[in-house]
Formats: sequence, structure tokens, C-alpha cells
Amino acid sequence: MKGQLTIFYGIVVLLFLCLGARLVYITTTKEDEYKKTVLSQRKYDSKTIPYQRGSIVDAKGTTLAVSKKVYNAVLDSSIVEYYEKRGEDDGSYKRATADAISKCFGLDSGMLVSYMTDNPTGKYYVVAKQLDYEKVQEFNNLVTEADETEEATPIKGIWFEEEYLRYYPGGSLASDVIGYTNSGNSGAYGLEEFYNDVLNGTNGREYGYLNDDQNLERTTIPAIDGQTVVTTIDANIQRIVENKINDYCTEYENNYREGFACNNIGCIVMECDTGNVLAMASAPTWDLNEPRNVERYYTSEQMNKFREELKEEAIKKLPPNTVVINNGEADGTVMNTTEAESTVTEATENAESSGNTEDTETTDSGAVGTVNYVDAASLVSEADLNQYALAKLWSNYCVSATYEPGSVAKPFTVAMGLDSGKMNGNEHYYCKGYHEVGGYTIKCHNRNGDGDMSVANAIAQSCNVSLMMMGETIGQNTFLSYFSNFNFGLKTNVDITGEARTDSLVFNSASMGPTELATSTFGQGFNVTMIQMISAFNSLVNGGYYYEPHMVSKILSPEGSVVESIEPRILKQTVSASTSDRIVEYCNGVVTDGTGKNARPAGYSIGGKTGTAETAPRGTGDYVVSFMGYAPADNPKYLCYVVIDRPNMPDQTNGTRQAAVITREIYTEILPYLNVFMTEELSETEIAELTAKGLYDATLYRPEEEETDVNAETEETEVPAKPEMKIDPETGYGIDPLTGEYLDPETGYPINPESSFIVKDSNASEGE
Amino acid sequence: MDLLSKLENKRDKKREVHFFDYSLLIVVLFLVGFGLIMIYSASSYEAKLSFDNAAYYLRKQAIAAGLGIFVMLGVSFIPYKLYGKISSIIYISAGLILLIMLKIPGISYSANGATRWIRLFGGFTLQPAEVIKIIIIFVYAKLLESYSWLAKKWNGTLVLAVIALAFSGLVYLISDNLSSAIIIFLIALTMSFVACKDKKWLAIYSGSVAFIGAAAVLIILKFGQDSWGFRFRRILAWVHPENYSDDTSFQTLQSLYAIGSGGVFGKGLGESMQKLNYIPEAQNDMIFSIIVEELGLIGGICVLILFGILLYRMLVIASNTDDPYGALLVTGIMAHFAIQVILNIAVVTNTIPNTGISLPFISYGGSSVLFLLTEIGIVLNVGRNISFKNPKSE
Repeated sequence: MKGQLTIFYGIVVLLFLCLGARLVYITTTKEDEYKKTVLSQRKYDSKTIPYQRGSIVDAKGTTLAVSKKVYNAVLDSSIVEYYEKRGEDDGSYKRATADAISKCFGLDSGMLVSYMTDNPTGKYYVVAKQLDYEKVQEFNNLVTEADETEEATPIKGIWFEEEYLRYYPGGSLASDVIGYTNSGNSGAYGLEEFYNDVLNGTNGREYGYLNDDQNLERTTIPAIDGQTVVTTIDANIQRIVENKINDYCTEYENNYREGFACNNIGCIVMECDTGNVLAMASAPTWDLNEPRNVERYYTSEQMNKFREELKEEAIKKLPPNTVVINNGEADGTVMNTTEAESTVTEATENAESSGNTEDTETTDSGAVGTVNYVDAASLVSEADLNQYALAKLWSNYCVSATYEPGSVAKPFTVAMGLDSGKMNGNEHYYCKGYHEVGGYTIKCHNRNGDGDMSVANAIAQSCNVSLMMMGETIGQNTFLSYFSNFNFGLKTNVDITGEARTDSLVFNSASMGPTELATSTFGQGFNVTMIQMISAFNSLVNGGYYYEPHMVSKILSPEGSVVESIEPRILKQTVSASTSDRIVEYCNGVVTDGTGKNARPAGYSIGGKTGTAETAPRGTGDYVVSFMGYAPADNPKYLCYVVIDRPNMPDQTNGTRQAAVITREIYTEILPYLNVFMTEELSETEIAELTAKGLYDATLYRPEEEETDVNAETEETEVPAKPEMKIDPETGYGIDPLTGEYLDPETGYPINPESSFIVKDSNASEGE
Repeated sequence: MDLLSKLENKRDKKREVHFFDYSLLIVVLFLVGFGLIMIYSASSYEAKLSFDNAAYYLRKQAIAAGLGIFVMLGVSFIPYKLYGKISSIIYISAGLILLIMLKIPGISYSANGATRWIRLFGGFTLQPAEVIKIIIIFVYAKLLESYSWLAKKWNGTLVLAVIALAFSGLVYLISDNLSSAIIIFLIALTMSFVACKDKKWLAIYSGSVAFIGAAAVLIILKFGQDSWGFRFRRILAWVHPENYSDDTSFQTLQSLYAIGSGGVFGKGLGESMQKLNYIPEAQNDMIFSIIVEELGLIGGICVLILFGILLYRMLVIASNTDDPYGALLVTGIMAHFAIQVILNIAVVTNTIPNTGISLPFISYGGSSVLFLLTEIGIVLNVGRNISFKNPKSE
């Protein structure tokens, strides 16, 4: 027995030695590796502190977009389980927690109990999202109540995760300008996208680590909140503009054909001396808090229309020998071979019309036997359709759409003539209703002819023939040089997302012939964006200063101090001040006794220019109509540009009148708001109208002050004494008695020698 | 019975100096004290978090250990032969009753998904498997002493095997506690081995153990799949710990990291990083890894040496006891300690698959330390009965 005992002890000692050897092996060979592992797997308790995305406020400080702090209620069932295990383990903690959740957040408590039973180790289950602070408070009160009551089971395992929710107090106000924000704080469209980096901040972090005494120490790196963007938009003006657009849209909806009042409508209000955009609106607007709710913004008929549009696009992209079947039939009959053949021919014709001629020949030669059938319904997916509809909704017509400006371009042509010295303003033209250029006969809008036209009349009556004649005087090269000087074909770099490129949509010296020049003089043949047009026109009426248009005036820190102030930026002088004055004079005539009489708001004198542009392809009766207005007439301060794309009217050219009317409606409300005093006496009917609208304010009428203002200005301009000079009888320029240089007769400054070279060149080339 | 009265007469008459194994007592007290320190070191972080009281586990363990030392000293005065006077049938029935109590809902108590405890008064709980370990020692000592033929005949072996297998099987089936079942079986086996007087049977015992063990390992390695259940997953995780690092072998891997990162000299007492949530319940079965992490290889080896001394003192007592019953009792207790130490450290070092076995005196567990100290009390009493003058009889 003793022997066996000793053997047993021997075995034990042997095993001890083995274990000791194993210990030696582990500690000596794996020490470094495992030390690193131990250090690397220390997960420091850390959590992200979300930053608050900056707000967007209007010029007056009204909040347009703000990130609100909201709370997600998170259920950690492992904590509940822990208390269950410590307690009776009878499910009472689960029930207490589930009841509290269902009481506050309206979830089914039975479901929650079964969730906790099924996932006893689950740590992260979001039971309610985006709760207000009040809701959280309500829940916390329940928790304290349960803790304080002896009989009640404490509520465990719920914590609240902070999050920010983007909220737009204005709803649909300035929707195209502001844009919306996707989850993860990425802005989409508008200012939200353009100023995304400014608006976004940096997430903070809270670290927990164990110090030498194994106490948890916390270090917090606070989140850096995003900066606030102050737009130049004035919410009140924006609202007025949107209301006027809506009024128009409501009035003309289903007017002539079923559907919207027009394809598109846009309006920009700009401050002349800064280039600040005060309002920018297009229709339809959409609720920024609900950007993806397609059903809310489009009726099913409209969606069907979009579906058809998309389908047409898709059919164009199909391979040539494909037959599209609508509802299982092709054009009402069941397909047989011959009919299939004929449809194929149709398809190839389609391809031909879309410029796909090479493919057509190969199809003709052989592939008739292998006809592919495609179900029309399968061409357009529901997701594509929604995306298409939403993209239409979200896009900002004022910067993203390109169109031919029409007659609003006429003042530019006149300005080119005057500024380059090719015209002196005293010219007269005879309009017989059409004009022949490069073998084409181009009609004036007045088929009977306007007769004898002065320059002023050509603008006021919008006579195409006179303008074409001016174009001939100006010449192609001068025209193009001024054209690009007005920034057409170039981006304005307005600080908002979605500005369209127009560089391929304008003429250059290679593509512009006499016909192109002729149509360009009255705004047809080249494309612009609204923001380009209003910025360029601003330089025409404000003394020649081209201001970079912009939407944001200031960037504020989260605390409210100014981080960056965006000052108005003059990029260039497009025309001289005197040219500008002349253009103002001519455009005033448009409203006083020209095509834009409807645009005059009661009590004010304004100037402007109408535009009626035929869309391409021509001859469909489709027009883009517009009115570019400025007020007050003598000293332009506020531009207002309204563009209506294909108004819903029998004769769309009449829409021009509507554009002018919208301008008048807008000015009637915004000029008093902007503290512009009335200069014109109000008639009885006008007073009655204004009173009916609740806008009548007799104190606004201050003709005297305005007059003194005007006088003061004219005196100022007359102060610099003009040098004595002879007038060149040929060009109308002054001649410097010392150098023999051409001088501007009004200012006495030398004419830009470069521009006179161009004049000579162009003359030479036209001579050829 | 003759022997008993003879011994007592001798003691009375000659007033001989009796042996008391102070070295065993000192080693035990040292281990218990060391255990308390390590429990505090390993558990204070979790206790602070869970109970807002860093000494939560220490306090409970200290109470149990203090009680256990009193019991140990008390038991060391109770003549061990009294245990032999109680019928084996009573021991066996008591064990069975305890196991059946686990099946009674009001009495049994569950933790960590297993029902292994029964409730006692005052919030204390008792693990029947701990009691059965002592019962099996009493029963086998009595049987092997009284019927020495049991260990060398077919039918005797059968009786022994049936009792051992019945108890370990019941413990496994009722309380789903494989490690306790294995310990019970190995105690019985060791005692039979030591009591055996026939070389042929010795060979049979050792051969069958080696064969069964080897066959089990081979089958598992060759055919084992995850679907066999968590025990087989544990075995697979033992072979490829890195494949199961997220769940099954998480504890083992973390324990290896602890041991490895401790190095030769350790990070210093209280400096363990692995106890901070990485080794779950570090004060329990995995406490040895914390010892090595904090006190290094040196500390780990010292603990092994202390257990070696402890077992050596028991060997000395068992060898020097004239009474085979006493010697067998000590042998059983020695086997109990040795098996637990070896299996625990083998698990912690990933030498064998993971199974929950606590390290005697050091791992947290009130009833465990109480029973182990009681066993030491029995050993001390056996030691008291060794007479210096009396030469070895057998």
C-alpha cells in the first residue's frame, strides 16, 4: 500500500513538473506576443459625441434649417438580465421595463418581454427613435418614481442615445435654395450641399480608461459644432415671391391643357449694388422635412406622364431590332412577322432620327429575323420613376435650367453697340416685318412691321428687325467679345449647388455666322441660366459693375461670432456707366409705353424688359416667356426676373404678360417692405386695389425726397468738367486735341484701344 | 476493533508524545491566506462595478474561510475512526438524498444556467457534489479496509466500479457537472489503486485508465464536430483555440494571454489587466492565470511547490499511519487535492479541454473552501494518531 501511495505521489509530482514546464514554456516563449495581445485588446470604453450641424438662417436671422437634438431610446437587455439573475429571476424586471417603454413610447410590452427573453445578451436594441426631450423626461420620471417606490420593480436597461435631426421650420419655404440633408449629415441640393463642409462639424469623443488605481477615468473631447450659414435670402421676400408664383400656378393650372400651369417657373430677386440674391424660387416647392414623399407632390396622372417620358427615353436606347409590346400587344394587334418587320423599320427610323445612322444600315441588311420583344412595362422601374420625379422636384430651376432668353437679351445688344462705339443711340431702323440674313428670312414678332424705329423704340417695342440690323453694325467679333464679357457661356460661380454649364450652348467665333448673329441679337439660338441672365443684366443697369451673384453673406461660428464675411465682389465692368444709364433709359421705356406696361406696380416707376423665346425645335408653339424688371426706374436697386417655361395657354406668347404681372405683384409687396418710397401719385383705383390687399400706406409716397435725391445725383455726375474736344463726325467720338486719340464724348476718357482694334478687325472680316 | 482499543490503551498508558503536523497546518493556512489576497486582487474590479463594493467577494470568502479554519481545528480533534463506525449505506443514502434535492424546485438553486446548488439557511448554498466527494472517500476507505479482497477480484472490482460510476454518473446527470463527476471517479480509482495488493490488478487499473483516456481523446480529435454539443466544442477549442476565440475558447485564450503576459516575474500584485473584464469571473476557476500574470512564473511555480508540500505532508501521514482506514482516508483526500490542482492548472494552461474545476483554497467558493478545510481537519486528526514510539506495523 505504501508502495502504491509513493507511486501515486510520484505520478502527481511528475504531472506537477509537466505543468510547471508548460508554464515555463508559455511565459518564456509567448511573453512578448501575449503582452502585445493583452494591450491591443483593451477596448477603451469610448463613445462618439455627435456634433450639431450648423443652421441656415436668412438675412434677418430667421432660421431656415436647424439641427435639433433628439434621443433614441436603446434597450440593453443584458442589464435587465443581470438584475433578473441577481433578483428572483421571475421576469419582474423585464415586465417593469417593458411596461414603462410601452407606456411612454407606445410599443407592445409583450413583444418587448419576449425580445428580452430571446436576447438576454442583446446590448443594443433601438425601441424608439427621434424622441423629444419631453418624452425622455417623461420616461426618466417613471424611472425615478419606480426607484423611490418600495413595491415597484426598478426600471433598468434603457439609455438614451443623442442624435441630431435636421429640421426646416419653414417647411417648403425656399426649398430649392436650401436643399435637404441625408442621414449622416450629407447635404443634398442647394445650400445644404454647397456649404456642406462649413455646416458640418467634427464629432467629439468620450474616452474611458482605467488608471493605476483601476478607477475609470473619463476624458472628453467635445464635438465641434458646425458653423451657421447666413444667406442673403430674406424669408419675407422669399415668401412673397413664392406666394405670387403659387397664385399664378393655381390660376393657370389646367388652363389650356391638363396639368401644371407651365413646365417650369422661376423667379430671382437680386440687390443691384451687391449681387445678393434676396429670393430665389421655382415651382413646385416641396417640404424639406419630407423630401422623398413622391405621393405628396405628384398626382398619379403626373407620375404616369413621367413614366411615359422615361419610357420614350428608354425606347430610344434600345437596340434597333427590338419590338416594344404595350400590355402584351403591339399597337393594338398581335404581332406577326410582317408587322414585326414594319415595326422594326419604325424602330430604325427612330434610331435614325436620334442620329444613329450607322446602326440602321446593319439592321436593314439582315437582322429582321431576330426580333427581340421587350415589354414596355419592364422598361421603367418604379425606383427609376421615383428618382426621376424627385430629381425634377429637387432641381433648382433658377440655376440648373438652361433656356433661350429671348428679347431680354436685346438691351445687351444695344449696350454692345453703344459701348463699343458702333452705335451712338441716334440710329433709326425701318422694320418691314421681316429681315433677310444669310439666305433666311427672319420675322419680327410684329408681322406687319413696326415701321420707323429709334433705338429706344426698338427696345420698348421689342423689334427684332431693328436688333438684327444693330447686330450687323456691331459685327460678330465685337458681339462675341461683349457676349463673353457678360459672362454668358461661363458659370457665374453662384454659391449654390447645381449651376448648369452653358459653354457648349453658346456660339463661338467658329459657330457664329450672320444668321446666328442675327438671332443672338434678340436672344435666340444660345442658352443661358436665370442666374447668368440676372447677374449680367444687373451690370447693365447698375452702372456696368458685374457682381458675382451670391447666396450667402456671412458664416458664423456656433457661438454666433462672424467667422467669414462674404463681401460683394465686383468681377468686372461690362459696360461704361454712361452706357448703363442709356440702357436704363431705354428699358424704362419698355414699362412706360412699351411691351411691359403690365409690370408697373402702383406708386412706383420701374424699368424692365420682356422676353418671349421660341423653344427648340421651332414651330411647336412652345415659348419661354420672361420679364426682367428693376426698381426704382431712375436708380435701380432691386432686380426681379421671372421666367415661365411653356405657360399653359392657347397662345404661349401671351405668357409674357403674365411674367410682367407676376413681377408687378412681387414689386407691389416687396418694395414697401424694402423701404422704397413711392414716387408716382396713386390713382383712386390703385389706392382701392392696394387697400383691398391691405398694402396701402400713404406715408410711403414721398415724391419730393426722391426728386431731391435725383437732383443731388445729377449734380454729382456733372461735377467732373469735360475736357474740350472736337467731335469726330464719323464715329461720334471725341478726339483728344493733343494725342489724336478717340475719347468718350461723355466722360472724356479714352476709348479702350483694344476694343477699337476689334472694331477694325471685325469690319475687315465682315468686308470679306 | 481490537486494534482500536489496543492503540488507545497504549496512548493512555505510556503518555507518549503525539504527532501533530504543524507544517501541513502552516501550508494550509498560508494557502488560504494567499487565496484571500488573490481573490481580492482578481475580483475587486468586478465587485466594485457590480456591487459597488470592492471587497464583496473577499468578505464572503473570508467568512467561509474563517468558519472553515474553526471547523478544521474542531475536526482535527474528532477521532477519525468515528467516521468508520457509520454504515456505508447511510453515507450512500445521504449522498443520494442530496442529489435528489437538486431536483426539487423550491430547494435547488441555479446560476449560470446549471442547477448545482441547494439552498441552506441564511442565504448560504451548498453544492452536493462537494459533499459527495467526501462521502466517496469515507465509503471507499471503509470498504477497502474491511474487505481487502474487493480490490483484487472480479466481483469486488465490479462492486467498486458500480459505486464509483453510480455516483459520478448521478452527479453528471443530475447536476450536469462533468468535472465533479470526473473528480469523484478519479478519487475512487486512486483509492482502489492504492489499496490494491495484487500487481496484476494494478496493471489492469492503470492500463484501463490509460486506454479509455487515449481512446476518448482519439475519437474526439478524429470525429469531433461542433454539433456534438458544448463539451465537444470545448475539446475542439482546446485543440484549435484561435478558431473559437469569440466564444468557446475565449476564456482559455484570455487565460493564456494572462499567463504569457505575466512573464517570469509578473506585473506585480494587483496589476493584472486581464482581470478587467477579459477573464470572466477571474476569481473562480481561472484565478491561477491571474496569479501568474501578477506574480509571474515564479509565483505560479511557488503555488505548485506549496501544493507539492501539502500533498507530501499527506503522503507522510498516510505512510506513517498504522491504521489502513486512516491511511485510506488520507489517500482519498490527497487524491482529491492532487486531482483538482492538476486539472485546474491543466485547464488554465490549455493543457486539457476547458472544464470548470476550482483551485483548492485559492479559487472563490465558500462551500468548497469549507469542505476542503474539513478534509484537512480529518488529515490532521489522522496525523495526531501517529505515535513516534510505535514503529511501522505494516
